[in-house]
Amino acid sequence: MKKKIFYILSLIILVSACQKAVNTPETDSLAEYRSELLENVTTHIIIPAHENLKDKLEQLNNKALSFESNPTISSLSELRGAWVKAYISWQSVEMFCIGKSEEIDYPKTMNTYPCNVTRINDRISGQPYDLSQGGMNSWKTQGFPALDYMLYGLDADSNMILDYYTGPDAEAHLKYVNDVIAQMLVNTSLVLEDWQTNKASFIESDGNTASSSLNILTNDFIYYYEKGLRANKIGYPCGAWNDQIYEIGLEAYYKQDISKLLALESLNACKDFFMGKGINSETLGFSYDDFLSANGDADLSADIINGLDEAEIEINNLDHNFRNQLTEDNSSMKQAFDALQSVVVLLKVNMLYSLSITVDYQDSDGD
Amino acid sequence: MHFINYKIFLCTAIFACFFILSSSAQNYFIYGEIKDSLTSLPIAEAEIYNAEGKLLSTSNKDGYFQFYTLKKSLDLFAFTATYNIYKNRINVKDSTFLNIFLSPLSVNLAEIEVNEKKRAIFNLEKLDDIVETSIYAGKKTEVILIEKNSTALALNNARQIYRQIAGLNIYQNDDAGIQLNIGGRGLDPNRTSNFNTRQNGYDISADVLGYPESYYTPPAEALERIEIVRGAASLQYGTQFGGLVNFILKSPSEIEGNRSVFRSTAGSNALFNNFFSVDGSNKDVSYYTFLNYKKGDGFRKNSNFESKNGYIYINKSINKRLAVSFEYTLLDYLAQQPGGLNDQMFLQDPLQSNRSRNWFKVNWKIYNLKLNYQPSKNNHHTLNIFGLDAERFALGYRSNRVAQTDPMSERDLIKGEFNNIGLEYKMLLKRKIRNIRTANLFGFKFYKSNNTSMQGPGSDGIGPDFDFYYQKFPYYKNQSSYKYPNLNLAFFAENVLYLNKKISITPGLRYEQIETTSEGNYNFVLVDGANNPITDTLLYSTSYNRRDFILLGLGISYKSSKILEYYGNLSQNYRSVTFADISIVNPAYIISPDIEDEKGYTADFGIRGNINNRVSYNTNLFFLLYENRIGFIQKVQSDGNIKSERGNVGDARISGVESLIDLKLTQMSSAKFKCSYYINTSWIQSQYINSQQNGIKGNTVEFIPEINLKTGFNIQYRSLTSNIQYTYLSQQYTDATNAIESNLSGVIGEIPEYQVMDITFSYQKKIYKIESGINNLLNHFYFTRRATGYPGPGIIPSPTRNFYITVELKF
Repeated sequence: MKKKIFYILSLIILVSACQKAVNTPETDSLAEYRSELLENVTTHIIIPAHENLKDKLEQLNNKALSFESNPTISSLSELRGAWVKAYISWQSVEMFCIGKSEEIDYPKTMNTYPCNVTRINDRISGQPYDLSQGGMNSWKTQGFPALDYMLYGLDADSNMILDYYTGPDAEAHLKYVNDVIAQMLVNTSLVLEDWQTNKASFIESDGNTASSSLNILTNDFIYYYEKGLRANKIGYPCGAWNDQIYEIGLEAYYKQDISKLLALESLNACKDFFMGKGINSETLGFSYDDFLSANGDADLSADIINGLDEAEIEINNLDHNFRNQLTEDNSSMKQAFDALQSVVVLLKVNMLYSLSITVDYQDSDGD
Repeated sequence: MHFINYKIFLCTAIFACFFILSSSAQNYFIYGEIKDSLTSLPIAEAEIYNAEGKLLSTSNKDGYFQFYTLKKSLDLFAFTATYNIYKNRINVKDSTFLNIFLSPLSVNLAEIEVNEKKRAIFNLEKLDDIVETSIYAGKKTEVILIEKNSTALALNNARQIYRQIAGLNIYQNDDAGIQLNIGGRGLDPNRTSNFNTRQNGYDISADVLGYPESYYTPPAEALERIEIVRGAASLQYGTQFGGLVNFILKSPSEIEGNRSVFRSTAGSNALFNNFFSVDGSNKDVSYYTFLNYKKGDGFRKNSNFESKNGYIYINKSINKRLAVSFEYTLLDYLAQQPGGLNDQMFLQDPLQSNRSRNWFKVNWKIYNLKLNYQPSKNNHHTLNIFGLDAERFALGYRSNRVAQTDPMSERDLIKGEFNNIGLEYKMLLKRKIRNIRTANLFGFKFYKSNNTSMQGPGSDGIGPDFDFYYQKFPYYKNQSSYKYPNLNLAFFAENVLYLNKKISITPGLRYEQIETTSEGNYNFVLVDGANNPITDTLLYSTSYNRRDFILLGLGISYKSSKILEYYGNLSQNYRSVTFADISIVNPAYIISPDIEDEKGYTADFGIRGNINNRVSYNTNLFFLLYENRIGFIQKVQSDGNIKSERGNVGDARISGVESLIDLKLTQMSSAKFKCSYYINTSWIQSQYINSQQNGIKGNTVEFIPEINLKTGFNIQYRSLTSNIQYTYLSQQYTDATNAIESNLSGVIGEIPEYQVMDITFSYQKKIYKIESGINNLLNHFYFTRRATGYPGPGIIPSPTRNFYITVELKF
């Protein structure tokens, strides 16, 4: 009997000792801010940015059709103009690589540069291709950079380029341009549809885990700022890591004189996203700046905005055509790079600390 | 290479021991006759055992038996099916003749029932306080007797073999059990790396400190038992948080002559398993050897394996006090791996695979030379000199985009070579100081390893081509080559003090001196946004880290009665920085200059015993503090860049209850039908109490199911036994942020709760035995792991329902 009591007593001690060890989960006071941020940026930035892009791509498609039916200098110039407009609106979209976009590698299908000229030419001269195929080799032959080559890079000047669309291989050239645009439209529609369908569940996922919406969105945003803007547009061309100028790495390499414009558009898209400015409005909704202030880090928010402004000034000082800037005065390019870099530190270290978000790039970058 | 010298040294040592020291043995010769006490007729096939449960001899048709022994005094047991058990203590002076009379039983017992009687007498379920030169007093010890298990041995099914070990989390993705993945108390099961893994007492993992993964574990068919000592094993066996897993292989019977066992298994998915072992003894030499061949197609597309495993053990008694043994183990294993899945793919079809070029190869050779010296009953020395010569190759296309079609370009190839040599000496001295009995254990360990790891471009072909193709793919992104010369010296001491008949205390300490070095280089291939290489730079990296420290531990046991024991222990642990922790393979990463070993302690408090011989139990509370966990944080560098810095970033605590209860539902006396029920549960809570990583503090530690349950019935009717088992694990997180939703790679996200049911049968008659079973009887689709890289990345599905049948013949 005594033994049994002993046994029962020990069990009780064990269990009660354990009960104390149970952790009480901390209440998640930030969930409300997270969902407010998600609501605002999805409604006023992400979806309108995609709609806007789709609109511009449809116009691009129309111009391409008119060019196909009547390839002249003026219709070529209209087609080029539509391409520039679409490229500009793309700068507000590239940072959102989530859901369907991530699944189909949407940003890579749209803006992988430098494009592979040899491969594109092979395709025009008859090699079979399938633009819906994934993988770097496929991405290098489509999207804005492929059109950059097709509209500006085939030859030295506009008249000579027009010859490709009127000469013996006109059909193949026109077909390729149309195919690339069609693929861009297909992908964009897919992604936009996905955002519209899954908007509610995206906003609902307001936790703080590696797969919660804000964590993915924020990691994507910083990744884009660091890679898509800082490294691709300026870092690689100016030789930030290897001290060698790398001209072919520039965005819109063949068009040339919009490289600065695109970089500025991209920077402004980042700033607008940070501040919650809607695509079609001037009002500022709830976004990272407000979140930081609510967390008691208003100074950090101000520092980030200042940093972005300074980076804008540095980029503005550069030539419209980065190819000129690289050859004439690369040190200014490097200054712009440094200005962008200083904001990376604030975003990736300080802001993530304040928002309690873990960096997880291994997943999102794939390189 | 250094290791070649070691091998020569080792071989020389072996030959020296066998030939120079081959003085004749001084065994006592015991012989006699076994007769029926009523009729005085001889009894054939009666078995004679010593008190440790070791079979010494079997009587022939004239009732005659004989054996040799080194001991002056021994307890003998004689068993046979139709007679009562005989027990007697004999004192040996010289060659001794014994007449043993057995009284007949009124009912006949089946073979298995006799075995059960033996077990009841020898009580082998828990480790004794002291075994050879090891002290287990006051620790949580668990023993798995493989013979008794008789379940799914050919399949090495860990879920069943370890069913009586509380709280084990097991990765179940390997259909022939060639690779063992078990973790306890919330520690990562991957390749059993949180346990110190040994075979017959010596290390078998790739590198005990720098790469504690076990790529070889012996087949269950060759095992006598598995000993598991939790947490508090640190002081004698090294330092792992998980504790010790020691695989004890079968040893030769002391009966003269040769015996062999053939086992052949066929199973689902073209599984074929052949196991053959022979053992033999004469006056002073004994041996045991096995060969094991496994082949199968795996349960998923794009998978298959072929494994060849061999082992030899030779023991020679030099004289009454000294024995020398040598062991050699070889495993050669090649497997095709089907890769991982993401959640959507898993839901669609868990058996699918879109990776057709992933291969894995292991070649493992282990040598051990053991000197066992026992100058007196109270003084025991063992010396193990062991070496490992092994390689591990992993080849495959392992994109994070698991759904993406394989572009059929170059594959990633990682080659690891492991060459190490160790020496472990242990000395146990039993004494009586005043009225207190004590046992003192002293030991030291020397361990030197020289390992290499290389990563680079593998071929763009399909087959298992384990060559690098540097010239064809010069700009391959992951290129590195490292050498890891490590040196470890340890001294340890442990003492059992029996304060009285009931209370013993076991204090211990361990001094460690570790030198970890990494020297090597990696390629920094700068690529543009379209993956074109811009520049390719070779960067060199060296790190050297020397440290020494002392770990302390204390165990207490209070045996309130023969059937109830309270035990408690507290022991410091550490996990050395691994090779991966200290080498840079990518310029985006740096290693913190202050990186140090992960440290902490484990405490157990428990009770074990039985009630009325009907219920046996072992229930305990444990607490584990895990400090200095290694992880990444973002650090701003002096040049304004940010790098991921690997360093000590957090502390966690894990606590819980583990319990195993066995219940006999039928009385021992009802001989024909027996049934027992067991329930093995663990309930674990965990928390990150500190973290430099954002948003982690307060979260649950990954890979910890709150509830881990294994329960079932063991049923026996005469010679037929059966086990039916149900396993349930509650949901687990796989990352520190506690993500539930997954992503495209399938790498993060929860592991949902799962349940599995297994059933086994075994029938034994004289020399043959048939085993059969069905695993995952209800054919549940589930998974137990999300691999971050190899063998995925992504979800690695667990086997669906599968069947096997084994035939065993013993001569």
